[in-house]
Amino acid sequence: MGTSLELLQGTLDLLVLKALSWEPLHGYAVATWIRDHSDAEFLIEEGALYPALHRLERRGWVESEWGVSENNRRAKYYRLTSKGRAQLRSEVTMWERYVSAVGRVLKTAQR
Amino acid sequence: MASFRKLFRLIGREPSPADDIAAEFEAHLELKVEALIREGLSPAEARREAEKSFGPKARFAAECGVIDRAERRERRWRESISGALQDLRQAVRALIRSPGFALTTILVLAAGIGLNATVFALLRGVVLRPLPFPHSDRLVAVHSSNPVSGWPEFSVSPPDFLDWSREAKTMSAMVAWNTDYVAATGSGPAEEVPIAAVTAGFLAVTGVAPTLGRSFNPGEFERGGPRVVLLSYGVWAGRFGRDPHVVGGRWTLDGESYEILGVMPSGFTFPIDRIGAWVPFRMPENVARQRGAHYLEVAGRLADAATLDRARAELVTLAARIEKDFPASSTGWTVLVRPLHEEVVRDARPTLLLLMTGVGLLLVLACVNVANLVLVRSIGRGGEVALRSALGAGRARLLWHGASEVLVLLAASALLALPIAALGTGLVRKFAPAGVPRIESVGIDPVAMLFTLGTTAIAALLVGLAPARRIARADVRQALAVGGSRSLGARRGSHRWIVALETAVALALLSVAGVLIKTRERLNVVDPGFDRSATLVADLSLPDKRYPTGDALSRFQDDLLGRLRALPGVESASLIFGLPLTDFGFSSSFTIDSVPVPDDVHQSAQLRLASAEYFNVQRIPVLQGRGFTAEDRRGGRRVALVSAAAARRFWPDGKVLGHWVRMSASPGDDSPSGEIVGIVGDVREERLDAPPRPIVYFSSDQTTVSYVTLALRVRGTPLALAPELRRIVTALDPELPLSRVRSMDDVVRAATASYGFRAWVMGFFALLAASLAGIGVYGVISHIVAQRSREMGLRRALGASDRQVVREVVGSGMRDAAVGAVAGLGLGWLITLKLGDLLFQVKPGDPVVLGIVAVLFLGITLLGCWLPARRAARNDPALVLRGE
Repeated sequence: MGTSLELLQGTLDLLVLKALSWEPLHGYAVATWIRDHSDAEFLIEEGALYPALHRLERRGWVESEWGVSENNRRAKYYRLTSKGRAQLRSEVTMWERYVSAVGRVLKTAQR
Repeated sequence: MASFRKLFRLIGREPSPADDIAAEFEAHLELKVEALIREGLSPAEARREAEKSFGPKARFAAECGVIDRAERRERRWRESISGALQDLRQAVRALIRSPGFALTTILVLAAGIGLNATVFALLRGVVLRPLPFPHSDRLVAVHSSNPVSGWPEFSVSPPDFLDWSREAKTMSAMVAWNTDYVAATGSGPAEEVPIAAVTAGFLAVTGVAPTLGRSFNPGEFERGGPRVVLLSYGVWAGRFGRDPHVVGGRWTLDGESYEILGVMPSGFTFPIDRIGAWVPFRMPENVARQRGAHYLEVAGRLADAATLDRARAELVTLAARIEKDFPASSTGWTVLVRPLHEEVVRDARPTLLLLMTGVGLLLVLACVNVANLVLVRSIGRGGEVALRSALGAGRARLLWHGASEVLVLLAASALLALPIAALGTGLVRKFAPAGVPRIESVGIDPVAMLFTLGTTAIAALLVGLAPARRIARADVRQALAVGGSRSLGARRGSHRWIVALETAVALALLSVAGVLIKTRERLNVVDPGFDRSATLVADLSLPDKRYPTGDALSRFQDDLLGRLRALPGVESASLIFGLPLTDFGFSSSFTIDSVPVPDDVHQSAQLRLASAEYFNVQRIPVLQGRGFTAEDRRGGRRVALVSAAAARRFWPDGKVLGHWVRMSASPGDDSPSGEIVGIVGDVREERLDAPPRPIVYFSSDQTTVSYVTLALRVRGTPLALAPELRRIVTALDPELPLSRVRSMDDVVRAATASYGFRAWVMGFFALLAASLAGIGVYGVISHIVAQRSREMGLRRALGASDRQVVREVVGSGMRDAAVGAVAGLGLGWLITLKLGDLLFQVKPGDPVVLGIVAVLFLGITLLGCWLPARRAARNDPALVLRGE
C-alpha cells in the first residue's frame, strides 16, 4: 500500500454511521469494519473513533449501552437511531454530490 | 439491558464518565490484544502493539470526557425541569381534588395581597409620587412664621414677598398667589370656580407651559393691564368642551370679561387644589404700606447651585433685616421654608403609613393561617416524602415537591389579588375623605403590580417556610415506620407559635383600632359651641361689578334674608363671614380703646362678620350683654361682640363691655371697629380637636363683604329646603351662583372625615384580623387535639375525667394566647405612640381601650380552644384507641 490517507473528522463520522447501519457494534468492531471495508486505505488511530462515537451519541444519532462481547467480556455497543439513519442518508447524498462536483472540476482541468 | 442502565440511574449510582470511558477503552484493547495474540504475537508484544495502534489514550479519554460530562449536565438539567413541571401539574391536580382548602387559602391570600397592593397604590399615588412639575424636588413652600404669637406657619405679606423675590440669590424664581372663588358666567350656567391669582414667577417656578396658547406677559401683571386668564385642563374640557379655538375667546368672571390666553396641560394643578383657572395677581396700589397684611401664599424654585438649607438661611437673614427695618409691622416675624412636596403630603402621610402597617400585619396573619393549613396538609403526606427520599430524590427536589402546591396557590392568589386591588383603589377613590391630595390619579400601575409580586414572594416564603423546614429535617426511617404519617407531625412547638403570633397580630390591630374609634367618639361628643342640627348653609359670592358698594351689598343681603325668613320652613335666617369648620382663617391684630400695642406684643383674634340672627341660628349663647339686633344698622353706632375666649384672654379683669376694638389689619378708616356690647359663647371654629380661638364679631350690616355664607335654621330636614333657597336666590339675581349647599351636619362630618375614615378602615382591618385569628386558633387547637387523640383517649380510659382533658387543652392554648396577647398589646402600644395628632383625648396606652380589647379577644380565643377540647372530651375513648 502506498501512503495511507488521513481522514477528516467529518468523514470519520460518516464512516462510523455507515458502519453502524447494519447492526450495533462496539468500538473495536467499528475500527475493524472500517479497515476491512476500505482495504486498509485509511490510517486511523483506533482510539480516535471514541470521541467520534461519543459525539455522535451526544447528537442523538447513535445510542449506546453496555453489553457482552463475543469474548464474553463487557463492551459498549453503539446503535444507530432513526435520527442517525436519516442523518446518514443525507450525509451520503451530500458526499456524493461533493465527490461528483470535485470530479467534474478535476476532469475539465486535465485538458 | 437498557432498563439496567436506567435502573442504575434511578438508584443514583451511575458510574462516573471517567470510569465509563476507561472501561470502554480497556475493552477495546483487550479485544485487540486477543486478535494480535491469535496472529502469533506474545501477550506483551500484543499489548504494546495494541496500545500503539490505539493512539494517545489520554487525549482521547479527555475528549470523550468533555463530551460526556456536557451530556450529563444537560440531561440532568432536562430531567429536573421536567420533574419540576410534573410536580407542578401534580400540585394543581391535588389542589383541584381539595377545593375547600384551595379556595379558602387562595381567597385569604388574595385578600391579604390585594389589600396590601391597594394601600401601597394609595401611598404611592398620594404621598410618594413627586409633584407634577419638572425637577419638582427643587420647589419649596415659603411661609411667614411668628411662633411667639402662636402662628408658626402663616401667609406672607406682599412687600415681604417682593423683597424676598428680588433679593434671594438662592432662589431662581418665586411666585406668590391668592386663591379665590369667582362666579363664572357666559358659555355655561353660572358656576363657582376656584381660581388662583399668581404673580409673574408662575411660569418660571412651575416650569410648565400651556399646551394651547401662551402664558402671561409681564405687562399683564401691571395695574390697569388687560384682564387675561389661563384655563385648567379640567375647565377647558368641562366648560369649554375641549374647543381648540378657545384661545382668544372671552370668559366672564365675577361680571368682568377676561381674555382666554391658553390652556394648561392635563394633570397640571397649582398650588395643589382643584384650581380651575389662573389670573395675574395685581399688586395693590400702596403695597409698601401692606407689610403687616399677610394673605399671600408663596413658593419658589431653588437656584441651580443652592440647597434647601442655604435658601432657608438666606431667607431667614432677609427676614431678620426686614424685622429690623420695619419694627412696627414685622417684629417677631421670620420665615419657614419647606419642600413643596412635603407641604402637600404631610397631612395624608401619617394616615397612609398607619394603613400600610395595618395591611402588613393582616398579611402576616393571613400567611400564618395559610401556613398552618399547608402544614397540616403536608403532615398527612409525610409518607410520600419519605418514599421519594428513599428513592434518591435530592433535598432540592423534595423541597420543590413540597413547595409546588404553595407556589401554585400563591400564583393563583396573586392573579386574584390584582382585580381585588383594582376594586380597592376604585372604592378608596370614591369614599376617601375630601382633601386627600392627588387621590384621583391613584390606581394600579406597573409599579403597584411589581409590589404585588414582591408581596406574593414574601408571602410564599412565610407560608412555605414551616413545611420546608419539616422536609429538611425529615427522618426517612422514622417516617416509613408504622404509624409514620402521624409521627412526622410537626412538633407541638410550631403550633404554639402560631397561636401566639395570631393573637399578637389581632390584638395589635384591635388596640390601634380601639384608640382610633375612641378618638372618633370623643370628637363626636365635643361641644363645638354651636348646635349643628337643622341648619342649612350655602356660600354666596357677590361680584364687585354688580354690587360695587357696601350699600348695594347690604341691600341685597337684607332683601335675601327677608325673603328667606318668610318661608314657612325657615325658623331664622342669617349671614356669616367665616362659617366654623370650613378651613376659614381670617385673623387680625386689633387695638383696644385705641391704645397702641407695643411692637413685641401680639394682640390678635379671628375676625368674623355676622348678621343679627346668626347667634340664634347656630344657638350660640350670649353670655353677657347682648347680641346684634336689628338696631345695629349700617351707618348707626358701630358695635362688636367678642367670644368668651377673647374675653378671658384680653380682659382678664372681666370688664369687657364698653371697650372699643379696632381691627388694624387693613390700614385706613374702614377697618372694622366697634364698641363691645356683648360676650358670646366660644366656638371651635378652626377644628374640633383644638381649643376655641378668640373671636371678634362685627355686624355684617355695618361691615359688608362680598363673599358670605348663608346660615338658616330650618324646620325639618335642612337639605329639603335647598330647592326653595335656590329659587329665591335666582329670583333675586339669576347670575348669582349659590355653591356648597349643605347642612351643618355635613360640614362637621367633613371636618372630622379623616378621623372617621381611619376609624372605619382600621376597625375593618381589626375585625378581619380578629376573625382570621379566631379561626386560626380554632384550627390549630383542633389539629392538636386530633393529633393527641390517642393519648387523650388512653388517659380517659385510665380514669382521667373529661373536665381534666378539656382543662388541659384549653389551659395550654390560653397560655400561648396570653403570651401573644402581651406581645400584641405591646406592639399596638408602640404603633399608637407614633399616631400623635391622629388621636384626640386618648392616650396611646389607654387602659380602658386595651382592657376591652384584650378581654374581647381572649374571649374569642377561649372559645377557639374550648370548642375542640370539648369535642375531644366527648369522643368515646374505646373508639379512639381502636381507630388507630
